[in-house]
Amino acid sequence: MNPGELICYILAGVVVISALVVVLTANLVRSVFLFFVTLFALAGLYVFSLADFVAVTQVIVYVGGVLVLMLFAFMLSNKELLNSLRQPAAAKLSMLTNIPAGIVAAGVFTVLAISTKGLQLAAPSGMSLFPAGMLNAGDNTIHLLGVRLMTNYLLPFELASVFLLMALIGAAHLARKGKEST
Amino acid sequence: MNALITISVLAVLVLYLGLYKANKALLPVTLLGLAVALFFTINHWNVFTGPTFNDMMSYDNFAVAFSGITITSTMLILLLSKGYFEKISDHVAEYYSIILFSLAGILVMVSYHNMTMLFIGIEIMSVSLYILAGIRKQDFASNEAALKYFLMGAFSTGFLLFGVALIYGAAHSFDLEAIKMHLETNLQTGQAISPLFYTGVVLMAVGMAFKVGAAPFHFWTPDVYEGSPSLITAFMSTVVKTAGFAAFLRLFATCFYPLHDFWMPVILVITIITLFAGNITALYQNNFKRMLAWSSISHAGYMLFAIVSLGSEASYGVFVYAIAYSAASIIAFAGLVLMQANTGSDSFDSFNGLGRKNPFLAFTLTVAMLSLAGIPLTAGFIGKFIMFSNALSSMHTWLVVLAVINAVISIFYYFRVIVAMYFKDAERAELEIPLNFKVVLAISVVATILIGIWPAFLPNVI
Amino acid sequence: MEAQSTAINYLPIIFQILVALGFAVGTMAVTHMIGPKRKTSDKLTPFEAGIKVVGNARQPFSVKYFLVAILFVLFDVEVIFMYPWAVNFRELGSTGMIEMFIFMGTLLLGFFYIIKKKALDWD
Repeated sequence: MNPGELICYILAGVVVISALVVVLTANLVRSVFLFFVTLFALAGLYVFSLADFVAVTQVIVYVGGVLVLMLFAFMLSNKELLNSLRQPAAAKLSMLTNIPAGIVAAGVFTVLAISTKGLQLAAPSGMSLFPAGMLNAGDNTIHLLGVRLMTNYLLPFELASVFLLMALIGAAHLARKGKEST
Repeated sequence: MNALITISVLAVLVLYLGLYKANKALLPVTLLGLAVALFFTINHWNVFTGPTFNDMMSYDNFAVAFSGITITSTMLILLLSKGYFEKISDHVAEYYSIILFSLAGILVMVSYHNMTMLFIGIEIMSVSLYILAGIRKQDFASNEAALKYFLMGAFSTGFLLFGVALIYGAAHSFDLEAIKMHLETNLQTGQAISPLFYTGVVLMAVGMAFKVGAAPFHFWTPDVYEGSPSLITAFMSTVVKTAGFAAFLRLFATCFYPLHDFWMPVILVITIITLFAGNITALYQNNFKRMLAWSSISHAGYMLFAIVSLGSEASYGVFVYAIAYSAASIIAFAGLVLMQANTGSDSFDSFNGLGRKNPFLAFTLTVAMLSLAGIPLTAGFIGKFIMFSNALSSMHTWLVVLAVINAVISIFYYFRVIVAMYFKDAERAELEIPLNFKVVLAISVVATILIGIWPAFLPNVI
Repeated sequence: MEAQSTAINYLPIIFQILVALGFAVGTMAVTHMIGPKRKTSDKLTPFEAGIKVVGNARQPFSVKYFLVAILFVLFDVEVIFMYPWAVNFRELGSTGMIEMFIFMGTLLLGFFYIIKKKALDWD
């Protein structure tokens, strides 16, 4: 096992373990901070999948934006609310109410495991997933992505701006302390 | 494309009109803009030459037909909204603007030719709806509706996106035509289709079923429909549902058609559960609005027939059914809004004695209920007839038997309204019906009866 | 293992993260260990300018901060969209410029709206 593979597996392990702790821990603040670790490690995995741009997006948008938003949500809510949200210590995976969700999750996971098993994954980096000529290790993916985004995928790109505008208006409207909410 | 640009620009224009305190101009400008968009849409009729914009969109007759219905229904609903949003809040322009943005997303949903477009269309539509559901910031039910809708909707979008990703992994394309080609060549040459593809199809079906509110993914529907302001509920249950089915049908009828044998049983089960869950629960509702929510679930079941039996008539069936259902629902919600404004209640009892005091409103509501129940000489009957005959021709006899049983069940709860209006007496003052309500009611009733009597009046799409 | 030729480029970043984390954790641990510890109850109470502590430190923030955070995320996403364009700025030429300006223009309209609506005024 060469160092690259080793790092890859370590990152994967960090993702899985930290994600599990995020879900299972009783303290919500701790889950949010651990989520930082999950997202960072996931960004590392994206780098190994030759998706540099996705890794950058992950760090900028999720770590830099969404998680900060989550922290704000904590600061916004008062302590009583947080305490009432705190799961009782017994809320472990074995809880009766968690069984349906557990079954669904296990089912989806099994199906995915079975369906990916049929693929020829020669290298752990997942290279053989790409047909020949589609993407090479040394390619400048951001360059290719930029060209595609501005030519083939121009319409979705422009519509994304419409989407962001709409979200902007909606957020400003809902989060604003208007006359009706004072 | 022009229609899409018109509506997007219109949304921004309306927003800025509100900013510069031109509240009087909001509704006329919106309606005018929508009329222009409708004109552009109809201009595309029968001029389809192939997908445009790097194969992102395909403005075929299917897209034109469904864009037409959604734009028209939105116009009718907005006509009802005169003075409605003003009561909720000062920021009226935002509501018009967000409804228009949502409509822009819907236009993308009905004419996509690429999975990315489907995704972004659905996102624009749903995120607008999360906001619209919660526009009554002071109202607990409205907040609950928005939050519930947001959580469920985000979750279902996750399913949808996961499905898209898996299908991309198997077929190496987002393009509907390319995916279909991939399936066809693989089936012809006897190559195994990647298991990723099957998983992707199921996940996408789950995501779409969430969006159209089909059982067993319908649990958000009643609470969201009840908690949202009534006109927003009307928008959700007519325009949004129509768009959802158009997207659903386009995806499964064109793109995944070669795998019909694989996914048909899944959709069949969903259809049957939806019919029974919607109709039986609707029987036990005492609240008119909640009854409409459950009935909209059962109508989703009838519309799913088209996807189960994908005959040549499938698109036409959904088209007619969507018109019939939209027209009847708009009448029902118009009645509901009037009732809420005057009596503040939306139980069945508040309709008592309406037939004597407001004969016109009572008549239109009767027509709407008959149409929803599928009684002959109304549009609802024609819609159901096309759906059932389509299912019969693809040998789903027992499915039709179950559906007929459900149609009979549905008569009970729709007739409760009619009975309350005509046969139960109550001391009540006459409701004052504003002119815009009269216009909308008249248009909807005429459409319902006209299609019911003379279905050939509608052009046969596709 | 050609695949690592790009992943290897990120090795410095990993080193940097390790060094940063190591420094932070290390200094904290070391000061904790070598510093003298004399705990009295007075020392462990929160200090608030010499007066007794009143109420709870976890007062809910105003919703205004939340709006800023949401807007930040939205513009964050916008910046992400600009990144692939900026990389190919020369190659895409004036067409790309116009396309990007439409994108930016739409969002600027939203930004202008927010400012006009005084959503960012904190009084």
